[in-house]
Amino acid sequence: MANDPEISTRQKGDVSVIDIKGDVTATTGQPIEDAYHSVTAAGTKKILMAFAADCYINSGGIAILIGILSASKKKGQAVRMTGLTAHFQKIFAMVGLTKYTQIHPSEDAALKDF
Amino acid sequence: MKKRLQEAARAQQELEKRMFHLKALYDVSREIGFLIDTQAIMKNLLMMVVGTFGVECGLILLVDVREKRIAAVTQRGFEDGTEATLSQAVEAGFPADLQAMLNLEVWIPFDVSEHLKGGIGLGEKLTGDPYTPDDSELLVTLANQAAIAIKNATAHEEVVRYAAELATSLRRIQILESMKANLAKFVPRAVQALIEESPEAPSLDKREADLSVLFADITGYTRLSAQMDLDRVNQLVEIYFGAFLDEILKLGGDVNETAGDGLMVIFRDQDPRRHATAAVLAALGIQRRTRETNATLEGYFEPIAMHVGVNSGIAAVGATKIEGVAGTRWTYTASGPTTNVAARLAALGEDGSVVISEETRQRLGGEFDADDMGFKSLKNIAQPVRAYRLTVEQREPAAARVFVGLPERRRHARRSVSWPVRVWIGEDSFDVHAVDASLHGICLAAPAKDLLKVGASYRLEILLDGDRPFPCTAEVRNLSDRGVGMETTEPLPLS
Repeated sequence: MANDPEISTRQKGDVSVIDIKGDVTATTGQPIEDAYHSVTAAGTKKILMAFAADCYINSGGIAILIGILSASKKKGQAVRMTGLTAHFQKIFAMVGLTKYTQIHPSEDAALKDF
Repeated sequence: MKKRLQEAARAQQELEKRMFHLKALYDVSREIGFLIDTQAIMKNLLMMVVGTFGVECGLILLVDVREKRIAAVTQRGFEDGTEATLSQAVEAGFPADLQAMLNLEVWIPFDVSEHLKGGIGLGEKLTGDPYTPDDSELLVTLANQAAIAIKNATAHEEVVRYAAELATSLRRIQILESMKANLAKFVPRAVQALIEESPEAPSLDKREADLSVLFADITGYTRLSAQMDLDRVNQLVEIYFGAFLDEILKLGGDVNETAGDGLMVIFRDQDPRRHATAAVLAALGIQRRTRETNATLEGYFEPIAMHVGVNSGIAAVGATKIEGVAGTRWTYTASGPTTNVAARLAALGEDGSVVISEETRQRLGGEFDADDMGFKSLKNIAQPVRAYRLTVEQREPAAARVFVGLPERRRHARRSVSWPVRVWIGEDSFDVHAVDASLHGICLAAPAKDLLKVGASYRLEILLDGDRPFPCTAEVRNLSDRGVGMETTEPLPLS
């Protein structure tokens, strides 16, 4: 049973933070894409994707994130990630996501990296 | 030691990768296995594949190779216009060299059916690593899963389409049945039977046939019409003619024409004596019902009298086509001297009698003791015609005893019942209630009369007191507003 994601956005200085809770899959990933398009439309160049500790991400969810990173690269946006468990950090490295983003252990560390 | 640690780390990494692939395979099965929409299956599968292998560009293509067109496509990461390029490539012939055309690192084909083929294509991995044999093996497994899921979805879509077509067809049949039921009120039963026998090309050509024709009209109808308002005249005709119809239908007559105050009824049977007897009995029945209805309506309407005549012989039976500039009208009737004589004989009737021709009288046998009226000159008939007179009081009971066309077998006591009954007409059925029953007879409630025909047999399932239905076969003996009288082949369990 999918745990529907709860997505919200907030602003930290010039960084748009997208908070993500719940399952990130192909079928539940649309709100994350919508949030990305929303902050992009507002003109942000710095995006932090903050995952909650209980987040579950499967292959379909990774495809969503690849799409966002691919679009942000073309638009010249910097994307950072935080809150990912060690397991998902390994998976992200395995599929090559870490070539397009940096993963940080905390929100503060991520914000400092922009 | 350092080398061993590195090997252990690599082994750990490989294990995690395989576990990730295994989880992806499980997720694919779970997510697309229950989908019944081809496009949704392809979209979900592509997302899983793109995420599993970490690629920016990927597509799944489904091609109808028979029609050389794209049946469905889903893609991620390609530039706009890719689908137009694909369409052109597919029109030129599939499988095209899509791998080179779209700069794909890998292309895994799959077959859904003989004419529906597809493939999964992926671009370069984000890591820059090449695709390994293990990757290819996993992709082939995923492609096979896709093929099965799409095949199931296609079959489901076919079933849904067939169901929709079937629903449309059923609706059309319902409309046709409804039209048929309404048109049947205006069309003689002989014509209905001909159309049902050969719906596409009913044989309506005129053919000579031996038959009996009954004419009946209200004496002094013109005077009555002048005295009463139109609604009351119409009401009067409906009451009397409704009663006459019961008599006519139970004896197998086919009302061919009604014109204000008159009826023309045709009786046909392979045995010329039977249709003559049926026509005479119906004629006597009309006179009897006239008298009964007069008594019932005493004080409401002036009593009426009927002229009734019967003749038997050869007539041209079939369609008469009247063609004008504005359109064409078909009528189905029996024409010729036999019909003309019947109409003229009716005019000779007086005091509730029935006038029949020599030809009809000869067919009745000795049981009908008719009064000889001698030779009569009839309007527009070249030769005088010998006519006979029958009256209800003297003739009908005796005639009923000898008439064997539709014998009534209610020799057994009947009792009121309230049994649910299912009546089968071919493969179709309808439910109705029986209102009374005897050992070999059952009377169904009035609504059934619009669906059944006198003389036809039907399968019945009678729900008695127990749960099990009692099956039997029954023939319709009469139809009336009171219900449908049927004779059952099997004795009914009345205990």
